[in-house]
Amino acid sequence: MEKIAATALVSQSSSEQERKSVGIIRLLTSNRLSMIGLLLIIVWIALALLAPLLSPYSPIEPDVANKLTPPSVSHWFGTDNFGRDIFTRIAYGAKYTIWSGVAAVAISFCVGTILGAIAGYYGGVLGSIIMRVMDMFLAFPALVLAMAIAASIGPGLTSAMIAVSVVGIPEYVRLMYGQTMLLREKEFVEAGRAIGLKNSVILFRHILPNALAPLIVRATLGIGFAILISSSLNFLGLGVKPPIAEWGAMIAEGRQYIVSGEWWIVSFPGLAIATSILGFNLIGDGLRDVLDPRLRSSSGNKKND
Amino acid sequence: MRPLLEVKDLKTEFLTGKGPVRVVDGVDLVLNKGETLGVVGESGCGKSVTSMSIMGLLPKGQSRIAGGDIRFHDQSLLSLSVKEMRQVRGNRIAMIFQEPMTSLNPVFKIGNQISEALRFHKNLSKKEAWSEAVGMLKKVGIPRPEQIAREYPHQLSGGMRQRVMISIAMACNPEVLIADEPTTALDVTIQAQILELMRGLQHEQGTAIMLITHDLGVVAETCQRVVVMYAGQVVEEAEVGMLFKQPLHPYTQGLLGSLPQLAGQKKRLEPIVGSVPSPLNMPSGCRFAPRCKFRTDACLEYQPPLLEVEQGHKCRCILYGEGEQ
Repeated sequence: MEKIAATALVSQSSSEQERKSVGIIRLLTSNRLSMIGLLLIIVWIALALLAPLLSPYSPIEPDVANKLTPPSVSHWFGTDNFGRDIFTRIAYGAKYTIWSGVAAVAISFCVGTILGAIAGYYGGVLGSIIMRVMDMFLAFPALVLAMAIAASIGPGLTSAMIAVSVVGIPEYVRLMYGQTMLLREKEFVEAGRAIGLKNSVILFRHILPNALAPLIVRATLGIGFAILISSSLNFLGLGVKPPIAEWGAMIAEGRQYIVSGEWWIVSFPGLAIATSILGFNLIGDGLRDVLDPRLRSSSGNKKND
Repeated sequence: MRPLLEVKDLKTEFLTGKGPVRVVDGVDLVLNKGETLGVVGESGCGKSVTSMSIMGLLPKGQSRIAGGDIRFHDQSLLSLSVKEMRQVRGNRIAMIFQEPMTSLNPVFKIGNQISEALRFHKNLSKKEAWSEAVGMLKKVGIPRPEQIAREYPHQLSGGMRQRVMISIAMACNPEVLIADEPTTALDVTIQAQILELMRGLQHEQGTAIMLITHDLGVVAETCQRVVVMYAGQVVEEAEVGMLFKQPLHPYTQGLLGSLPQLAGQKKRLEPIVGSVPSPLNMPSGCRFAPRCKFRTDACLEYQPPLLEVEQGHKCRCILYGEGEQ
């Protein structure tokens, strides 16, 4: 009898938790705009993964007979000056764009969070040095700094990615710095010290999880920005080398044909960049609304003593 | 018997732009095994700073211990390294904070927070620590401990959270428990339960409790000995019965006079006029003199020492000093 009651209690409490996480997902799905964003991203990821299956053409091999054909049934988005199918190139290019956006943000997120946490928690000379270096980074326009870094490493996809992630770091450092400053004065941090925990344990086990929500929102919004910067670098020739299909590079190649009327070479990669950025931004906005407790009524059910 | 914890002539300073400010000035405390010592005083009299000094939790770079010693088992805590001090903190000397609502980490389950101290100090495995944590919850009178251990702090009421805080503090079976206003944030009915719980655990585990409070009712209820602090100094120390029956220091008399009484004749409450002097601008004589009803000219110049007026009853006042001098 008791056993049955106990298992009933267990299942009840775990279902309570499920309800809580389901609540967040439901809130997110009820936001129509963020669902559109999610759909856009899913489409782009699917295109990136399924590109070889979706298109009979090669993204690299020239087909001189069909060069500069306008959009048609056989070439949905037309062909470029080498006769390569634009749709195929965009689908293959999605891989580079999404990958470089996500990876760059992942790097800046990790590095920035750790630096910000250290600066905020320990403060002092070390904290000041970190924050002043970040201020220096922020003093330059993001694109100019990214160009300088990419150029100094040497053109290539990796160097473009490193440049984009370095440019993104200060944002996360400042955000985490502020969060840590706020959280380290909390009583539960002092209580952690009072039970004899090490500083590193307090910082990474107690402060970090409490600071994550705004950082995650920032990161989602940051992916869009990272895509924009990395496309710009590729457009400027500081990223991938031809003939690799990358959206920014495709626009650069098609640039000279705008005046002669071959609009499709630049328009479709441009649209691709715009929609993928829009997708990540919409998701980020939705996440921010869901994770911001001020926009939600508290659903915690208090128990009486 | 040698005392378990001894604070000798402790002087703690905060470092400010205008130079060091002494907020605790020559405090002596003795805590014996299994006893409950009450530390009473107004806000800002240095009682919390004293407890933080004992725990070694004063913010570095903003404060320092300028003099005196804190001895635990006749070993100076001030001479311990950071690592050694971590072994003492939470394990042999534990602490309960005033604010149960914010002293628990909102993103961790209750059970994990209790387990944390156990895993760190007792090297228990995750599973062992968890079952120990559930046992602790049961000990502090939380119903359905298995379920509560899996919940988050926001799902509990204030009284429940303070019970959780106590179970974290008592998990490693400490020899000394410093309770910094453990009941201030709670309802009166819950207060009584929490005090009863602390008394029960003390009886069971033989823990010595240093109870910091400004509530004289709580002191009368739970403590054996009381230390009254004023402006960073101990002004009176006595057995609890003696202090309530015959308070010597005018400040203590004032504290008792400002307490509402249910029994006896109704009379107006007598507040102590004025407020605690700022540590930046301490009176040169007796620190209580500007607010004292019995002030003489000598009080303004002469700072009386803490003298044993009668057996076990110390007082820092010129009115009682003359016999010994």
